[in-house]
Amino acid sequence: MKYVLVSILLASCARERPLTVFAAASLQELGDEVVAGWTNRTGRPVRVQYGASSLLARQIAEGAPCDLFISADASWAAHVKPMSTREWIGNRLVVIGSGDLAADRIAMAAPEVPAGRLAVAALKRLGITPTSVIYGADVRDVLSKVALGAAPVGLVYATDVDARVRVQQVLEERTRYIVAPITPSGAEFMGAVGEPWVMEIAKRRGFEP
Amino acid sequence: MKLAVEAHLGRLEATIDVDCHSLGVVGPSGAGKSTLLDVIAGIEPGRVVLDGRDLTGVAIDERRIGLVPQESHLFPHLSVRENLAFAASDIDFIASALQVTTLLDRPPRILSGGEKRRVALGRALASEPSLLLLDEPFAGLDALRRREAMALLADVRRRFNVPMVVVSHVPEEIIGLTDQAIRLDGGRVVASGASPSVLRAGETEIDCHFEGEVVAPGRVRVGSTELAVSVAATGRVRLGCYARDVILATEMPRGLSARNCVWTGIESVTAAGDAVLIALNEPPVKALVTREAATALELGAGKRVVAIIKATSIAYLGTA
Amino acid sequence: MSPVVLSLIVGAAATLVSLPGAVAVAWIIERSKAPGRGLLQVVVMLPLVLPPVVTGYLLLWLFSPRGWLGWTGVAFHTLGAVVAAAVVGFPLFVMNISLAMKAVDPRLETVARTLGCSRWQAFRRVTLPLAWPGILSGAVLAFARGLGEFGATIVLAGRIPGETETIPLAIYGLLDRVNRDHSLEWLVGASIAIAVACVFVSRAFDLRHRRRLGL
Repeated sequence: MKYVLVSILLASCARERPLTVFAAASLQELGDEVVAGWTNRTGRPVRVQYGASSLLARQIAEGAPCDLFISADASWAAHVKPMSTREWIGNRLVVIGSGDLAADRIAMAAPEVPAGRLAVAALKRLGITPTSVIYGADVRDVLSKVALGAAPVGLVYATDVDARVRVQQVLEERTRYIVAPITPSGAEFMGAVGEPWVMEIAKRRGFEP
Repeated sequence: MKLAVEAHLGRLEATIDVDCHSLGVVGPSGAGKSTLLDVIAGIEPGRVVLDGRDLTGVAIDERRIGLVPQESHLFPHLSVRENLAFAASDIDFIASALQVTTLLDRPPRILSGGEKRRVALGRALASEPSLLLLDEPFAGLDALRRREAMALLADVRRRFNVPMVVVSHVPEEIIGLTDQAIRLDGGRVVASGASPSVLRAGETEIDCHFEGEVVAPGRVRVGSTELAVSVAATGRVRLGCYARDVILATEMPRGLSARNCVWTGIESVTAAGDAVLIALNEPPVKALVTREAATALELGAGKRVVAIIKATSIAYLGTA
Repeated sequence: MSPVVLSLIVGAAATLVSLPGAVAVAWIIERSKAPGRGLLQVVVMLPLVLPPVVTGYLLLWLFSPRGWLGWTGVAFHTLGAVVAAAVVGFPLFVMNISLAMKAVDPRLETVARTLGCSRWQAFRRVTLPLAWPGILSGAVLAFARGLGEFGATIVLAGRIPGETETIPLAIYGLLDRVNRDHSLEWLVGASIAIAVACVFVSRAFDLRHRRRLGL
C-alpha cells in the first residue's frame, strides 16, 4: 500500500512546471504581449516574473526556478552561469519630468541595478553632480516616484514612459538586453524571442533592434 | 457637624442624617463602611450635604474633606516631609502634634504601619479639611499602640477642632472618639444613634466606659469610689475597661497584686452566650464570668460582691 | 550624513515627538472614563498588526504631495522617515506606558485629589513621577523599533541617501551590490550594537521604575 502512496507523491512532484522566465522590469508590457502571442501559437503556458535584473539574478543564483533570464546588462546575465547568451533588443535612457537635472532632486534606479549604473554614467558624462537623489527599486518604481512628485526629474528607459510623465530629453546612453537560457526548455523559448513577429511588437513599443 | 448622606450604589444603600461632633461607622467586613467614606469624599457618587453646603456632584478636590485610608497610601516617591507638605508648606506644627518629627526625612517604605498612619493623618490635616474621614485607624496595631493611637486621635480632635467620621469593625475602639454612630450590615444602615447604644446593639458588648476625676497622680475618683489607674492627665478623664478583665469575689481577698478591690452591688445579670455579663453599680463596670461561676457564687441582682480590677486593665481614653 | 547618524537622529526625533501623545493616549485608555477609549485602543494598535508596507501605503496616501496632508511636505523627506518611525513605534510606546501607569496604584491619585489636586495635578505630581522610569523604558524600546523600520519608511520617505536612507534602507541597498567593501558589515554591526544597547538601557529604567514604586 505504501508503495502506491509514494508513487503518487513522486508523480505529482514530477508534474511538469510551466516555462518560467525572469525578465528585466522594463520589459513588462512587451513581455505580456509576447507571452499572449506565444500561448496562442503553441498552446503552452509561460510564466514571467519581472524585476530589477540584479535582484532576479541573485534569486536565480540562490536556486529560484527559472528557464530563461532576460537581463538588462551582461554582467548580471553572466552571474547566473547560463547555457549561453545572446544579445537582443535595446533601450535608451531618457530624462522625464519638468525639473532640472543640475538643480533638483533626481529620481533614478538604485546604483546596484543596471538602469541605475547607466544613469550614473549619464550624469557623469553630462558633468552633473546631483543635489539630492531618491532611489527606486527598479525603473518602474522610478517612474511612479516622478509621477507621485517625490522628485521633479528622473531617469528611466524610453519604453517605460507613460501618460503620467513627459519626456524632457533623450540621452545617448543605451542598454542592450541579454537573453540567457538556464535550461533546455529555456533555450527553446530563446529561439522564439528572435522571431519576426516578436521583433515587430518590440519595435512598435519603442525598443531598439 | 451636620452631615446628610444618601447613597444608592449596589453595595451600599444608605440614608444618613446626623448632627454630632464625630460619627462612628461600625459593621462587619464588607458591610460598605469604606464605600460610605468614598461617597462622602466624592470618590463614589451620592448625595452629600455637610454643614449646609451641598457637596453633591462637587469634585473631590473641591470638597475639603481629608481621607486617611486604611493602607495609608503615602506617596512612595516623596519623603515623609514632602508627603506632609503635599497640600501645605508649614507642617512643623502638625509633625510635632503627630510625633513624626524624627521621621521627616525618611522614605515612607521604611516606616512601621503605625508611623505611616500618623503621617497619613498629618498629611490630611495639613490640607485644613472641614471633615476628616478615618478608615480603620486602629487596624493592625497591637493593644498598646491602639491605646496610644486612641489618645492621639482624641488629642488631634481637640487641637485641630475638626470633626471626624471614624470607621472601625471593632466597636469598643471608637466609642471614646465619637458621640454618634451608625451600624452598617450588608450595605444597609441597621442602627443609628448615640454611640454607646449603637455599639451595644446586636453584639455581645463586653466592655464599658465611664468618667472620673483625677484626685492624685494615679488615682481617679469615680462616683464615690477611688480607683488606681495609670494616667498622667489631670482633671476629668474618660476611662474604659473590658469586662473580661474584671474578677468578682464574695469576700475581700488578701495578698493580691490587683490594686483595685472594691465592694459594690450587682445591678443586673444578662446572658452572653455561654457566659454571663454582670453589671455593677460603682464603678459602673461589667464583669464576664462563666455560668458555672455565677451559679456557684449565687450571683444575682442586688448581691454585694468585691470587684477586682487591675490598674493596668483600666484604659485612659483621653480627657473629658 | 551616514545612515547611522541619520538613523539615530530620526529615531530620537520620532520618540521625542510621540512622547507627549503616547502618554496622553495611555492616560485616556488607562485612567479616564472617556467613552471612545476602546476604539482608540484598537486604532492605536493597528500599526502593530498591519504589515509595515501597508502602514507606509496608508501614510503615503495621506501625505503624498497630492494627498490631504501633502502640504506638510512630509513625503519623500526626512520628516517622512520620522513620521514612519513614530507611527510604527507608537503602539509599543503606548503599551509600555500603560503598563508603567498600571503599576501605580490609582488610589494614590485619588488620595492626592482629596488633598486638593485637580485630576491633571494629581497625575502630574503622583502618577507621572512614579511611572516615569517605566515611561523612559518604553521610549527606548519605541526608539529601537522606529530605528529598525523598513517597510513604512521606504514607502513614505523613499530611499534618499543622506536624507531618508536609514540603516535598514542602506543595508537593503547594499545587499545588491557586487563589490561591497565592508559597508554592509559595518552597518549590520552598528544596528545590532544599537539594539543591544537599547535593550540594556530599557531594562535599567525598568529596574529603577520597580524600585521607585517600592516593589
